[in-house]
Amino acid sequence: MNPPPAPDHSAAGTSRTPRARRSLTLQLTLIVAAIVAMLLGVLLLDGNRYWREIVGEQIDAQLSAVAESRRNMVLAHLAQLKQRAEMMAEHGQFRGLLNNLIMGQPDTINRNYSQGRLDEMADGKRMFSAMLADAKGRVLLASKGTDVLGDVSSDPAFTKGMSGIYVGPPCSVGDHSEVVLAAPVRDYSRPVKIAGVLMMTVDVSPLAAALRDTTGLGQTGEVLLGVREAGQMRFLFPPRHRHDVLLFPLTDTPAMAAATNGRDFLQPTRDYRGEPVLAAGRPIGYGGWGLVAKMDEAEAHAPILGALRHALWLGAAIMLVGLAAAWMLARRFSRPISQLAAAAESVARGELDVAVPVASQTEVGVLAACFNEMTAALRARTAERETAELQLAEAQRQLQQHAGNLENTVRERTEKLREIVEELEAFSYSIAHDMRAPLRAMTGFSDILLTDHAGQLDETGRRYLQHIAMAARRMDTLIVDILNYSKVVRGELEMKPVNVEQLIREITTTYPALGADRADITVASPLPRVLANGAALTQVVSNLLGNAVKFVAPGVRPYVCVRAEKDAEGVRLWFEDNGIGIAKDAQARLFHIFTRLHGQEEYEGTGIGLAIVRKAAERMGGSVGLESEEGRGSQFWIRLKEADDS
Amino acid sequence: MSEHPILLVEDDKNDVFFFQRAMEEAAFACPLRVARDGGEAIDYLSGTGAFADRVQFPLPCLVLLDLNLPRRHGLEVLQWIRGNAPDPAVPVIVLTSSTSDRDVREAYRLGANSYLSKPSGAGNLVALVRALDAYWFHHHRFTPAAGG
Repeated sequence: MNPPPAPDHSAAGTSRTPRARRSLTLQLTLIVAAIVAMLLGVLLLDGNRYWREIVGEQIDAQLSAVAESRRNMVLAHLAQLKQRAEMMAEHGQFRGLLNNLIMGQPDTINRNYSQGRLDEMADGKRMFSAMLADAKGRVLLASKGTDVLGDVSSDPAFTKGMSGIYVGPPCSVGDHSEVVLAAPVRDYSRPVKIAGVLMMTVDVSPLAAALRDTTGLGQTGEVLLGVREAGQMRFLFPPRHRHDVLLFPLTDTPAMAAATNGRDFLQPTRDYRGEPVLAAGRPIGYGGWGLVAKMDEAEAHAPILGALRHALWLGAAIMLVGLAAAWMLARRFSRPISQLAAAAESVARGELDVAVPVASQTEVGVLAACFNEMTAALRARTAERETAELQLAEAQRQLQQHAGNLENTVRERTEKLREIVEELEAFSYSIAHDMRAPLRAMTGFSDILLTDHAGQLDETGRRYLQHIAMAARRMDTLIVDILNYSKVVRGELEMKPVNVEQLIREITTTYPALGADRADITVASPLPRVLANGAALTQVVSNLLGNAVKFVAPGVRPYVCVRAEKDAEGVRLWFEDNGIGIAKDAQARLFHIFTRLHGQEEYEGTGIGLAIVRKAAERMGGSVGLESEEGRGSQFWIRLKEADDS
Repeated sequence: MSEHPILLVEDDKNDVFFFQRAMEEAAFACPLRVARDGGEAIDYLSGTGAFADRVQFPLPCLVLLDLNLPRRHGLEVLQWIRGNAPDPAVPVIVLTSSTSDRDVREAYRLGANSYLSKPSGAGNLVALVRALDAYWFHHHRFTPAAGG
């Protein structure tokens, strides 16, 4: 099993710690900044509302006071005008003239006096013209320079004047303002009867000036006087901001609309320009006139905006100071932590000789102290480990030295042993080889004697010669078998996949004793390929087949069946024969060298064949065995590894 | 039939005798020269010492070479032939009682044309000589320089 991959401590440590250090200071600063900003915001909003309320009330009171006082002033002016008109109309000349005229009597004296009086009036202060009309509206007399003569019966001033004193709406002419003033002239003998009307044009410039006075109304404020006229609003004096226009839609002048409707008005609204204003409206109580004192909201609230601006600057300053303080505070908190983090980083890199200053008894201070204790412990542990590693290395070195010595010894001994074995092999090989030469001579000469000189020997001599030749041949077979056995025992066996069926075919065609004319050898195809050494397996198979066909009862045709059987350990090749079988007690020693169960007279043999089989099988990593019963044939088997490529 | 002889390199007198007798039995008429050891074989082939007379000891058309020889081993002789002999291409047939795999491999590696085991018994040797005669002197063609 693979161990899980080790986490890369160093990389993680260097990348994580500085970021954490930055964000700690930043976070603390941001938190403090957010709190300060929230406080400032709340204070500013609340202050704004408070000041708007205070200022609004103050302005309202001021406007109301102005409106009230100006209304009183207008009323006073009106009263004064009325009184003056009444006084004028009381003159006896006017009444006498009108009386005489009504009576149908010419009255030149009164006429002249009246004319003089009118001229005098028109010359007087604050009056431009004067005229006298009778009850039917005919103008009787007019001041000098006044060319309005004739019928004034349809003039509103006349009709109103017939029933009482009338002050017309002011109007501006050039640089002054004037009003038409009408007063009834009572009958001389019966005062309840109206004999005519005295009509005057009077200068009201002082009133206009007094209304124009903007004291207490700032740069934008004004006092307006207005009256409704045919569904529109007419300002009686030109407004401050629009000198040329007097008529406005009612909807553009809500404050004046209320005042001319007889209602007091006090609230923020819009004026004739559409500007937001604070306005106070009052009905004059005469002729449907209304008065409005107003001021632009922008100007009214200007002090608040100034105060707010002031507060904002102040807030920004407080904010800055707060931020600086928060940053310093955060640094003061995070510096020991940063030092700790840096120290931890060093420890992670393996530098254990670090200590962080323990500045305080706070939690961070305690942490720093703990950290120092930890690094000290780590240092101690590391030192211990290094010592142990040194000891271990020394021990390993010694062990290696011993192992090296041992290895050298083994190598030397092995070399020596190999030399000895080689010498022995060469020795035995040459002995075996040299032994074959005299045997060959024995065989050869016996043959020659028997073929070329048979006539010179008697029957017994020839039989002896045959015994010599046979013995020599047996000895040669023995030597060849021993050589084969030693070859199997010591030779290098190269293992390759071997086709067993093909190998058996080759063997049966090579050995005359295995030919189809002398034995029945069958193969249960297909046989699996096995991992073996071709030469050694040839030796094994030929020995087993040779035994199978050799050890049969006299007169029996040998029969061998070769089959394969796969099991967990590999392949078992079975060789079943119809031979004489092997007794149970003999089976155990059967594979030992020089083991023979029969005399040479019965079956020839050297007792080496099965030893070669066993040795070869073992050298190829396999094993051999048999199942047999005397008289029932034998089943020899050899187990080998199956070739991978099959 | 070639005037060039067969050179038998064999130290065992019995084997020489058996071979000569087998040639007679097989009616194999090629002349036979014998070298008794490795040194003699090289002397014969290089025409030195006792073998300087090429009329009496002409170059062989075929060499039958035993391996276990006194003075110089058969494989040494084989190596010398392939490297230094006047006719390095002369066919060399190893005829030996050695069955060692190593000997077989080395012989072929050094350029032996064939490797035969010495048979046991006179009859088997006659059969071998007949086979040699049939193969080398009836079917085989020697190189013109050597075989003529």
